[in-house]
Amino acid sequence: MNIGKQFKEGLLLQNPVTVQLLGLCSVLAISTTLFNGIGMGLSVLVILTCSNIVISLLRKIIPSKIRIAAFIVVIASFVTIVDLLLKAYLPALSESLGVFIPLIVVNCIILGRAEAFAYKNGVLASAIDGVAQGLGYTVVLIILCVFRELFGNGTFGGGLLNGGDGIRIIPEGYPILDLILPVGGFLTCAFLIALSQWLVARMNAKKKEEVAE
Amino acid sequence: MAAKQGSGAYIAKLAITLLGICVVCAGLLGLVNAVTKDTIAQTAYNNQQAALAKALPDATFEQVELADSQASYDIEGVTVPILAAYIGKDASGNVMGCVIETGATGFAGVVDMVTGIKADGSVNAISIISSTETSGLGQNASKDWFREQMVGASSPDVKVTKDGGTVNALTGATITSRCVTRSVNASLTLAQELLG
Repeated sequence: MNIGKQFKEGLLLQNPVTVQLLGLCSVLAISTTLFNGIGMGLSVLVILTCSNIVISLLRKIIPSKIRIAAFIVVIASFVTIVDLLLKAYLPALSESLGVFIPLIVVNCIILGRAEAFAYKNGVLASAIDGVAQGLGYTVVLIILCVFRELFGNGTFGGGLLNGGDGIRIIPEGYPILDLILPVGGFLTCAFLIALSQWLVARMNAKKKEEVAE
Repeated sequence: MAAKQGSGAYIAKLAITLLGICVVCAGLLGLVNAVTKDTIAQTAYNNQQAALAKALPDATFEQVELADSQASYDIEGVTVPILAAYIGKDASGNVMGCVIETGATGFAGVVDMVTGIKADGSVNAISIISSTETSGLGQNASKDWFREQMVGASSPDVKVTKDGGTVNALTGATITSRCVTRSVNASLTLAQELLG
């Protein structure tokens, strides 16, 4: 088992958002404040890890004919549990994420990892895969949130710092409001995907050089 | 037992496996629901009470049964649903005014807000309970400078400046702003009926 490799894949080489392009709907919709990004990222991380563990445990019991139905039942249960817990103990976050928490049920990241990884691998590897992929999702989400919030709204840490208003960095009236709107989400996400592809390409080129020498 | 695909035994095995998973999941959900149910209800109740208190401070509230004709109002050709209405009374039972909760549609879904109206028929305060408007644009409807523009209005013709009124809109598109002014107008109309 190669833990380092799994994390490298989750964070960069096989990042769920920038490489697998999974779960983009929620990424684009909620990445407007830091609070949203952290909350959504951690929710996905927890649900992904739990569902990976359970599906990996059950992989010998679930016949392949009904595996998708079984996956959905397991995932939906964890999502509902997280949704209820957030509503009860973090109502502000639950309000701000709105419908996107229940929608994690159909978020392709979770089902995708269940099908591609947890159904074929052991419990420990699946748990690590859940954490690694969840972290990859969270990191991308936080980068998008910080960028869009800073340049779109002129603040940092909205929903968390300074009584929920965030710390104002760019004076009111100057930020580019389009970045907060969906179009800004698409643009920012596209640039981030380009950047990560460039990084991967550069790493590969370096590796080749080393081999050639 | 390796049951043959398509045989009755195989189909039964599929069904029983899925049933087993569903039963376990349902049990787990029931448990979490039982634990969190009260806290969630309490939070919702607190939010509502806080919003009512902001709209009309120091009053005790009684919910009003609404007639069918009072379930919604057409303002400027747009339907504004009334979600609930409360009569606020002071300690000695005198009517202080009423608070009306409306759920008009804004830019991105329903803007759930309350309008507090004093016994003389003028707006005391408005407060947004929940909305999913765009952060940084429509979401600013909860800011003081915007809400305070409607305080004191008593006839249901509150309008944004673009429509010849006095309310400075949040943005040039005025979608959320008009949603709020229409909600205030609907509340004022209903309040006139309730307060007589």
